[in-house]
Amino acid sequence: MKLEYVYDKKLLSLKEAANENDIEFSIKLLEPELKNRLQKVREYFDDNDVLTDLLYYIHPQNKYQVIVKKDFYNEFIIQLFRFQLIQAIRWS
Amino acid sequence: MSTQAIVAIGVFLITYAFIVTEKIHRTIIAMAGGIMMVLLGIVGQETALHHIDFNTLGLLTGMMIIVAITSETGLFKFIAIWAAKKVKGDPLKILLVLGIITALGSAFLDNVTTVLLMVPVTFSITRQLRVNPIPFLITEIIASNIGGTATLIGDPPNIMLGSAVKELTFMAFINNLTAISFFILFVNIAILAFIYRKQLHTSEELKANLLDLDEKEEITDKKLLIKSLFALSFTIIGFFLHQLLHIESATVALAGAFLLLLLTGEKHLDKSFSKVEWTTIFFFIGLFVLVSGLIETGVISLLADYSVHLTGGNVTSTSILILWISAIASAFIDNIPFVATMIPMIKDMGELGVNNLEPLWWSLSLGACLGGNGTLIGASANVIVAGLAAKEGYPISFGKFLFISFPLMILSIVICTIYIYLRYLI
Repeated sequence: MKLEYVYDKKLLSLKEAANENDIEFSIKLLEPELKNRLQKVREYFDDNDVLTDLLYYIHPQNKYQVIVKKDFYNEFIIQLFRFQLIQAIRWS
Repeated sequence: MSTQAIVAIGVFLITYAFIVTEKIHRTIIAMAGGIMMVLLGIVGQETALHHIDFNTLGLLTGMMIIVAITSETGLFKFIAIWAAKKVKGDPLKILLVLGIITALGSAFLDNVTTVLLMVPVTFSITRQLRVNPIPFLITEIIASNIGGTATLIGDPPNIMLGSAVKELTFMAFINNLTAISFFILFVNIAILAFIYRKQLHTSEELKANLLDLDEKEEITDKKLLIKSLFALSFTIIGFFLHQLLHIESATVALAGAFLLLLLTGEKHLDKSFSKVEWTTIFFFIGLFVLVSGLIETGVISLLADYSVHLTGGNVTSTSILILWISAIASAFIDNIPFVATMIPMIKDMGELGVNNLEPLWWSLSLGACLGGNGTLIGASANVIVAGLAAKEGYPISFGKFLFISFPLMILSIVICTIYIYLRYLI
């Protein structure tokens, strides 16, 4: 079972690519106020005691690279949903 | 020797044995040992309280509060990424700069705090470049222990020494230990860079990705950053001037911490207090009371007497002996209880006719701080980094670390021997 998600393409673009034990997300926020929501997702993972569950890189022009360990993929998607960066999730 | 002295030695040795075996948390054991000294009537409660060095405790608490608040600003991530970009994303040069940043951080902050700030950003940078993080983590451990040696506030043994001996001021540490510590740091990092050079390669594309990072965005709270930097600068200037102003280093650190809390407001109070390592603070309290049992029963004086007899009171041989014994002991056991025992012993040596104690104090500091690099269990920072690395899937084995670090520690102590001899003994 894998999580499928839907997001508003007017607000952001989101690409993911599998890479060994990680999934790499390339995110571009088209609405700058979404920065705080993505920051909250980061803080959620920063608050636990695993350091490499989510690695977060900030690039210019509201571009972000997020490397998520495969074990934390579902949790990451759920947090994106929780902070309303994606609109819907479902098991496929 | 009195019965009380024998009982005190018994309590001390049993406590020490438990601390070394690490079966029970060291704070529980040290406090239990200290309480036993009081319960068995070896020291009275008032005397025990008198032996607790509140300068050491205040200094540690104040700095922990400042770091707890400052770390929320993203400053440390900013510095690491900025430095990595300055060296164009070259992994070998990043190893060097992260080592230097760790050493500088450890010179002014607690070693454990420094590595806790550096390790996440190290994983972040090495993952971005797809290089093995272990060489970076080992370099940071070694740099942290060396950097901590450089100042009065860098490492608990130095804090204890500065607190116990009036002449060992912040400036005295700067004048006597900073240059030699950074010389040793550069020797160690150069050797580590040589050892790991073949593992530290990445693609141009990954380097470009790193160079594209926007480190300024890592600063999450600019107002808090300004307030933190103001309080931190105020504190560091205070350390430089504390002797001139006739105030203790703990007063400086606590003034800085509460100035920052005054500026930032109540919302940071609970969080910053919760980040103070109370286990470390109580570990110190337990040890001070434990060692007071040995002082009050005359055991320390006897040991000092024996040491002076052994070396004939010769400052050169005593200094070199203290340097090497401290280093070897600190490689295997906690250097805090070791230094807590050695301080009163060296003071007693002064009363027994050793007329120049200065080289002895610096030997103890250099040996106890740098000895921590000898093994993976030699210092708290080593254990913390190894624990974090193992949890993230990059185990650093005792043997692997020993193979690299023990020769480096011996080399560092050889350099210190030459330094102590040339500077103080001829």
